[in-house]
Amino acid sequence: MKLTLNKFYVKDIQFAQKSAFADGILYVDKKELAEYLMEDPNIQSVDFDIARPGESVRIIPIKDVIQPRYKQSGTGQIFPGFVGDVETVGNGQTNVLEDCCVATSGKIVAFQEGIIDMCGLGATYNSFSKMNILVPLIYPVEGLDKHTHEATVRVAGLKTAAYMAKQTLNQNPDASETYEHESILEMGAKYKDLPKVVYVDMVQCQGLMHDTYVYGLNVKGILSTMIGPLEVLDGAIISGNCAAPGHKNATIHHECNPVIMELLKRHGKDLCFVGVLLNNESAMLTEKKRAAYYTSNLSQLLGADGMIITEEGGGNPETDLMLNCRFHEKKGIKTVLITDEYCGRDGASQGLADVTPEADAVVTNGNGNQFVVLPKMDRVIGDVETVKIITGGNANSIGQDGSLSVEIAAIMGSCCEMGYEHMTTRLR
Amino acid sequence: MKKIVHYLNQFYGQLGGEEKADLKPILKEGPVGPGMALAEVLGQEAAIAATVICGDNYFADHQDEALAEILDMIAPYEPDMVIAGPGFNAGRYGLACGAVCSAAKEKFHIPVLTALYPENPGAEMYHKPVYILKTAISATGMRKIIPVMGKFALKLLKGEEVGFPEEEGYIPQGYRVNVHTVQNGAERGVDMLVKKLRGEHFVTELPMPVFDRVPPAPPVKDLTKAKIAMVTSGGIVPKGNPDHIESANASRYGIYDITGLDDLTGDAFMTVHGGYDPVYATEDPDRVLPLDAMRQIEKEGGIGELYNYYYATVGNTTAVSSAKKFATEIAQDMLRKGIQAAILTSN
Amino acid sequence: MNRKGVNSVAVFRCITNNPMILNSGIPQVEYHETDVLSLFRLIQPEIDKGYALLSHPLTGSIRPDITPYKTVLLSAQKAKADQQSLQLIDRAIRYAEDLYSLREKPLYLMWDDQAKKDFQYVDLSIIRQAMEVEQIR
Repeated sequence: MKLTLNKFYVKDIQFAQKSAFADGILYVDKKELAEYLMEDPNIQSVDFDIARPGESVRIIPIKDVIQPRYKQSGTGQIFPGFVGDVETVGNGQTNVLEDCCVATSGKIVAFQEGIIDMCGLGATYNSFSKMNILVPLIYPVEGLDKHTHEATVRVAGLKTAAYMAKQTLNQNPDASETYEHESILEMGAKYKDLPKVVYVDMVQCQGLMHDTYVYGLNVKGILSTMIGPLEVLDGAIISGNCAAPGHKNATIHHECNPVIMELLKRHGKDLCFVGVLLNNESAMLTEKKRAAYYTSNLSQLLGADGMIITEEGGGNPETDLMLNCRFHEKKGIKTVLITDEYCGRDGASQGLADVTPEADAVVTNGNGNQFVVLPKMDRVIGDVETVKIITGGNANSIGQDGSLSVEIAAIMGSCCEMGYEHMTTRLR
Repeated sequence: MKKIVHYLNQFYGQLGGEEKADLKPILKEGPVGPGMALAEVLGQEAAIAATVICGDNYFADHQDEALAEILDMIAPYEPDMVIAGPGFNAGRYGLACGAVCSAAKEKFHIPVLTALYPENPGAEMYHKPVYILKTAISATGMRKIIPVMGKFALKLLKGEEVGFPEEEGYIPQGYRVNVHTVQNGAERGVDMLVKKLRGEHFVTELPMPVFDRVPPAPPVKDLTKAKIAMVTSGGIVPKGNPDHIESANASRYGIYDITGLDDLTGDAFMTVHGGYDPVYATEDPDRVLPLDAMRQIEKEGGIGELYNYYYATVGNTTAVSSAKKFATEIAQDMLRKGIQAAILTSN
Repeated sequence: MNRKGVNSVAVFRCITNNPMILNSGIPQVEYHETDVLSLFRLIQPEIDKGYALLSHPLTGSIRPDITPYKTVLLSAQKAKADQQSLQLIDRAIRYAEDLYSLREKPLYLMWDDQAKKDFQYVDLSIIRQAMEVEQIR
């Protein structure tokens, strides 16, 4: 398969009479976009706001972050199962708005959280602060149950992202990158001497606010399976996880999966990137074991020499991570785990909820318990009320000067366990 | 010119060897022994105003009093820093170095520093509150460590930013901190995997806790016919401590006769463990080593036979390597004597 | 493991501190009015007795110091103490203890009634989904 990503760099977002993309500026016709979103009868009303890098703006709470992409050519359409039909994606050309994202806001539950600060200390903890952000504020109809509310906001965010990227259709991109990924048999013959690497993308599926979708299907109950890396880049995997902002895998993390991007980059050079396995993270122990055994079996069928395994969330997913590690290592397949940790304020606690002696190669994306003091922002987009209680924050921790003491676990994507950000933990 | 007070034991303080280990703390003006070489490295930026010398045994056996005396000796100098050692692998000395530094830090709110071999029990105990530079196992490492100590001391004195253990040479204190990186986590992960697949050296970013896997022995088939022995790390020994087992960081264990005894009394037995208030154990040593209960069970036929000797040591800050050594030897002896199970008590 | 790999209707014990579970139609509910860490400590001796964990004691994306509620499923039958269950409950207790000590007052004590209701609802959703997938009633 071959997929070309056409990159359009966004310098600014502005509301306008007519939606368009020109000279790096994305113009958004609020009315038209609102009409598009309100095709869903569950939405009472929508509003939009814009946050720009460097502004004294805080977006809170945030449900999902999505990168605008839209297929210029090839089969299917972006976000299959939601925006696109369930047809296979991952080929042809996909237009991407770089330096830009959608951040859906609004409370599905009273403890909804997730911060993006566009300047100050908080901005140094994720890449989103350097992007031009469109924030759809989705107000659902009265009496909507939570599952439907979550689905409504989820789809609205995806549609917004697709709508934005659609404005670039038929235009010349600023840059282009083409990725090739042969069939397994082809690459086996082509790259005989390169180590065969498989990526296990563990996806959460535990219930409300803890779900993931593949081609529109909730992955609960699935047996571990395979997916083409290029399909993932076209939004085949969507986040339904609205808790744990610091280390959940938002939709943008799936679309830009940094492990897939790095493996594609090195494919055919110092490794042979065989493919991506999906392993679901269930709440039940038998499920966890079955999934890990099944994944390790698939790895063996694929002839893997080594695995990169990423997880989503903390707590019980660490058991999935360790089971996968152990079962693979016992089969002689070498593993590297990518995770994050909660090792306390001073970094002295044991940071993982589960461990196994076979896990001798682990990458960490930071300690989520680190406390930071975030300066007061001039403007808050979203729900001001939420600032009262978030991970690490509470009404008492708002300083006299309006500053907020929070754990970085409250900052969107700060410790992303796919390795999207540039942070690690070191021992002093 | 910054002022430092230096702590040394009787040996490095040039007052004698083991025979002087009971020396109470004494104060000398200026640097002594290794302090002289240290003073040279410190140059014009800091001086060792005084040296406190204390016998290792005195410190071990009277820690609270010794610390109070030592801190009182240090106080009038109003030092900017306290340095202890280097102690290499000397256990009692290492514990003293750590304790003095930790106490000085708490009392005077000044930077402190010592240098020990990583397996020194003093390092195990004090690496969290105190910067402990890594030394070689013996004093042959003196030449190498003194300049490192001097440089690091100056850094602490000037309030400069302290780097990571790999750069500065101190024993990791156990605090994990977030740092920004050039490569993202995914890039680092793939790099790590490629190295691992090639059999090349790589460093995990998140080490697993050490797993001490001891497979349990199968259960005793019939306790009523079994020969059972008692072992204690609670320090119960015959009165007079005939084997001179230390009250902390024990370097030995003893095997003691309890033939014909149904009960331990304070006349014939004592505790030498320095880590708990001895009053109740002195009143009735059975509280730590339950001979009375075992004899009762033996009489009632609950066990086949109680072995007529028991094994004792002191577990107070005893090095893991020492404990392993004792345990191996004791276990071998037990096997030779046909013992099938043991009761181990601590305190 | 009392199900021997067959997805038959299984009986389980439902240990919870979530009041919403009481009216949910889930059977065999053992309700305790306590916090999550204390619930784990109640569960530990049960595992020592030989009841195995069916569900993981920790939630995937909500920390035990943040949510006031957790429901854990144990096997209804006793067997030899399950090694994995012993390890998991032990580790879950340590994990929760460390997170509880992060602040003077852990976050789970700070929520208002609406937030508490929402946490109850999410916990219920998680248990329902878990049971649905395992086909246990």
